[in-house]
Amino acid sequence: MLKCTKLLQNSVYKDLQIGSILKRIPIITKSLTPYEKEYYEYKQGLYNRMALDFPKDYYYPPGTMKTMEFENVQKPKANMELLNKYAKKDELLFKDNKTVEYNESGREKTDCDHVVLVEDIKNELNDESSKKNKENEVTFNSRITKADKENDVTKLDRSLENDLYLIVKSQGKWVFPTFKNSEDSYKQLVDDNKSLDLLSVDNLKQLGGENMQLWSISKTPCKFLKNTFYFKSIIFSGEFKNDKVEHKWLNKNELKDVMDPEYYKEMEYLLN
Amino acid sequence: MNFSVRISKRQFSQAGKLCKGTYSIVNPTHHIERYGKRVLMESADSSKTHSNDIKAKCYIPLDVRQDRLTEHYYNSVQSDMLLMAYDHSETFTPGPIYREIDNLSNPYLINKTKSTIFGKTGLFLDRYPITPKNIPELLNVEVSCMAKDVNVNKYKYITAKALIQQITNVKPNNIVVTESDHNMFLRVGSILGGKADLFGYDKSQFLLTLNELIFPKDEYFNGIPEHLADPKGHITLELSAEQVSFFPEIMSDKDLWDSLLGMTVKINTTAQDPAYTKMLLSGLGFPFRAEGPLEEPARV
Repeated sequence: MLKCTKLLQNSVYKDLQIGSILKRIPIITKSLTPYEKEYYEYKQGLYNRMALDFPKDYYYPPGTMKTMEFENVQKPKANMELLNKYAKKDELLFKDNKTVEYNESGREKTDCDHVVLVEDIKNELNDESSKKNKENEVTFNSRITKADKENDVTKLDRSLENDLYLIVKSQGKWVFPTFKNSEDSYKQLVDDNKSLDLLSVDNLKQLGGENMQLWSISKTPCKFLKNTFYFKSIIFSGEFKNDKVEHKWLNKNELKDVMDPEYYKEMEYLLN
Repeated sequence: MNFSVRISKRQFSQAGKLCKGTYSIVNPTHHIERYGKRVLMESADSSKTHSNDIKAKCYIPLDVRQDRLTEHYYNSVQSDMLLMAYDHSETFTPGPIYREIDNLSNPYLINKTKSTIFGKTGLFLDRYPITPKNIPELLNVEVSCMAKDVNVNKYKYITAKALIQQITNVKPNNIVVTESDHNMFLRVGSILGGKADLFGYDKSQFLLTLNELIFPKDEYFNGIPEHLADPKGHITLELSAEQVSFFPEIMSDKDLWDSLLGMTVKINTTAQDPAYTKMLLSGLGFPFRAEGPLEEPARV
């Protein structure tokens, strides 16, 4: 940062350049590694085990219409998986000529083990309502988009898990976009008491079209490299459109392969 | 053999024993510390462990599921805030002036608590320049709900507690009257409502529903007023009874509730400045509006 102030004091506007690191923040959550998945499952299991049993008498007090409805629904359903699991142990299965169900911990099942709520089965009871619900069923979009399958790097709706960064081809190399401005534009900024980051956003809009909705993160530059101040900004909507300039939207892992190794080494710590 | 004696024998008066028996002022001073013998029992080991430890009695697993809000914070908000809060000329600005008193040097102040000597704690905190170790973070969310007309029907607090439990998935503690009020017909010990501290997954789930479902449904919501951020890094929001009814847990079975109540939500952060708390929460997606100036007292 000391370098920046010295530069500005000497008012060397000629060599000054503005760079912009434009990113799109991730849209969906990251896919979990198998270890993380098991960790969360273990914790959820702990949480469930510590929870209290369903307090039936509290929600369905005896002698009410609600309990009548509730008890009608409670038909003991045979859990075939569990039956098969204990099938070899004949003693357990055929005790006093009656089938006995066992829960996961191997004990005889009580009322708490098979509770069916009225609201869950309502759909099965009324066929009409079940048909309606199937129409309104929520289906999730896939985490892999069309651009991912086609490997179209110029589009924004790809690799939704990661941050995407805009890079541009200049002089045969893939770099973050940099801009040269006239001296008057710098001097006008000083007169208006505005910061350089607003200029970087304006420059990006001139390059990629007005339909991009941009937001510059802060007025402090995040990097100073070869007379260029790099500013970070975020794209919320719109697309980068310019036929004359080659561009790509890449995440951190893909940038490593495309960029110059020296250039990437300088920029690596700025990327997520 | 040195036995720990409960009451110093070098006291001349009887009253001295009752008031401050464990300290002797006359040289040589032997400060005898009192301790509860129960702590040494083996059965107390579980209560000594940290509440986040699985051996602790009060242990509840907090990281039960993948958390959207904290993931967003660590991925993008944290690094952006480091840039945004950077100030080239910023140095350490002290908060309240502490009069540091060596308690042992003055015999009259020996058993006094901190508050009686120091007076009120300061209006704002010490502010350090923000570094990677120092970036503001969410701590916890305190949700509290008070019932109306407790003096008429003392069981009204149950609805207030049930509301919190239904919404936040955490069992609330009681809010109890500590000072009696004759005008309001309140006795000491009567229960007014409930409060719950939210951590981990429950915390972020509550904040997300608040931000993404409740505020957009409210017709008259223009954004959180900026001046609600106080100088110690907290934001307190007042939810009206109508806003509480928008929670999906209550919306699904509205006839169950005979009367709905308002709530206060206090969001605690590690920020040292109201501007930083606002910065953090707007990074997490909360909309703000400017109504009055931020409450920032003059620096010392």
